[in-house]
Amino acid sequence: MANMTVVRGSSQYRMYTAIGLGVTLLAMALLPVFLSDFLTFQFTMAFLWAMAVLSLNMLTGWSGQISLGHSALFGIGAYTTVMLAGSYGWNPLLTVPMAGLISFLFGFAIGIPALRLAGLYLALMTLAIGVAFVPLIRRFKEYTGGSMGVSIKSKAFPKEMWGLSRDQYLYYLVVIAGIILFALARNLLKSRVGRAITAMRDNEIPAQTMGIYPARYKTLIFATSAMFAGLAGSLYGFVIRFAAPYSFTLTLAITLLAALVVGGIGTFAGAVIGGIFIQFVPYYAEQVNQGLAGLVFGVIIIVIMLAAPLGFMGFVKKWRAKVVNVVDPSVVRGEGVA
Amino acid sequence: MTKFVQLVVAGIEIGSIYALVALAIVIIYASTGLKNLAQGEMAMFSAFIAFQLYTWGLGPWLALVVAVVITFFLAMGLQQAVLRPVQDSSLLTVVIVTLGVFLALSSLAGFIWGYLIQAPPALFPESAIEIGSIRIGVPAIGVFLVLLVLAGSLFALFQFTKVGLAMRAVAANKETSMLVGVPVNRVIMLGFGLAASLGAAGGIFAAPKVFLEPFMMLTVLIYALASAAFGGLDSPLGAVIAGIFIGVVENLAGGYIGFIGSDLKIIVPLVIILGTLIFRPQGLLGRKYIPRV
Repeated sequence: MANMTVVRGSSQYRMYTAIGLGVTLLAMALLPVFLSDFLTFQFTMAFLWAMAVLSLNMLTGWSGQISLGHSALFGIGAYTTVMLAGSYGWNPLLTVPMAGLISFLFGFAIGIPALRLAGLYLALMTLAIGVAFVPLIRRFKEYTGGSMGVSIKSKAFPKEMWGLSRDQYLYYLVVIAGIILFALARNLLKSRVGRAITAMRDNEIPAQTMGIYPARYKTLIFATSAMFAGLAGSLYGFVIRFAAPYSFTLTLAITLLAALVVGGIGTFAGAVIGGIFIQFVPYYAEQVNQGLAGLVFGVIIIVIMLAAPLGFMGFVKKWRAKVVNVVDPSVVRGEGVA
Repeated sequence: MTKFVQLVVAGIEIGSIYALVALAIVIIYASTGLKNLAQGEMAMFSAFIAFQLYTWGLGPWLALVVAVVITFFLAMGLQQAVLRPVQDSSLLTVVIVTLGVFLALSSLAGFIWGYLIQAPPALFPESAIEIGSIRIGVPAIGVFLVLLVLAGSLFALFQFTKVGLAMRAVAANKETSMLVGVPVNRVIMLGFGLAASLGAAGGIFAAPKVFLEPFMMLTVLIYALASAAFGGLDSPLGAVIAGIFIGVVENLAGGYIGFIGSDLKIIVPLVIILGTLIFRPQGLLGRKYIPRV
């Protein structure tokens, strides 16, 4: 049906991608101009979730490992920022790289035993970490404030800056951080490292035969994913100015996984769609009934897994195929479809 | 000494509950290769069903039996509707689908019965047997006996009946069983129902101890998964032994190591999972899996 054929990687393909990206970025830049502060805040949260989903996507989508502990890694980032800025008087902006570093180290520490843990066992271990996070935070209440949580005084963030309201400048900050993170993730995953971890995901033994050393890449991708989760969590602490253990339960880990599936595993745009989905769908579902949100969520995950395992991006690709036919360069060179 | 024995007894009691849920996980894993992360929530749901029946006027034991039977059929329906289509898919798909069931069940329970903590009736009298200075609670003995009876009858079912033979055949090799005329799909369905019933018993016995609420099985699930991993994911006997072992270790650690106390007991299963994976990945009694290219 497609009436146009575009070769992947050609200048034409790049132009269309650039236009698409440009329009999206422009829309994101103009969003706060047209929306109320409340909705701007909602989108800030959605993009925060998008970063957290991206971090999980790097691990699950590209390297095929399952983590149910990303709620804890996200929480570590949030606690780092809120504790350093709130209790120790750090400049909030400086806490962000610190949160990235700490969660990277945590990810590295989890990643080393994780090397031995194929599939299910990694899921089990990260599940235990996800569940243990809340009691651990409560146990060290001298530092973490226990169940009451910790907070940053609101005067750390002026009501207005650069002619923007607090909700607006926080939005731009999150968007800029998000663009940087997505660009970094894209470059990492399109590089030699990205190809290596995808090869390992698809079949580890042949990948090893090709000279890919699984231990190095698995630890690396787990730690990097943890760092991204921590950075997203840190920005969350930044925006919410508060961290309490019950924000980072296993439910968050499952929600992130759900967002990943809904948006589309292994795609960048899917992470953003997933972030928007988990911000808005439970919010409106909760308006109906508190108990309903999780049920709707659970059923949506199951239905998507059964009916459309590629998620929203799967539909997008199907629609796109009706207009544009994207082919790999090898097809054009007459080497046949890989 | 008294404190030690007391802690061990309490550990056996809670360990029996872990063992029941672990047994459910192992049976499903051994027969279908499916790792059911929703096992705990299914058990929680059964505990609520039992509680509902009790408030409608059934005796606690009758409510237990009826709830277990209801669970048996509900679980078979769930397996056919949701899990059967994905049982041969990738691990990621299976994990995500069972987590979907997990979320849906916990919020459905919250929707129907609310999030307030309920106190279900005790199944055993609260009295205790005294031997010297040691008090052994009747519930501890009762739960342990229930575990032994259930595990024993399960063993008998597997070893001495035709259905059990079919289940073992399906677990060993699905394709070959199909060729010799075993109704594989029905056997798997039955196995899933049986496993869920075991889990249900675990949930109902756990309810008076951990209190009835939608998140009650979350920690129990972690302990059960740790037991299943420690005992060997395909070994029912391993699951029983490991469940009790973890219950005892957890209690001793909580009682003697001040740093752990009652808050950090959750560290115990984490360490056990980690230790198992590093030193003996196939678990205590599990079979070693050697990947083929």
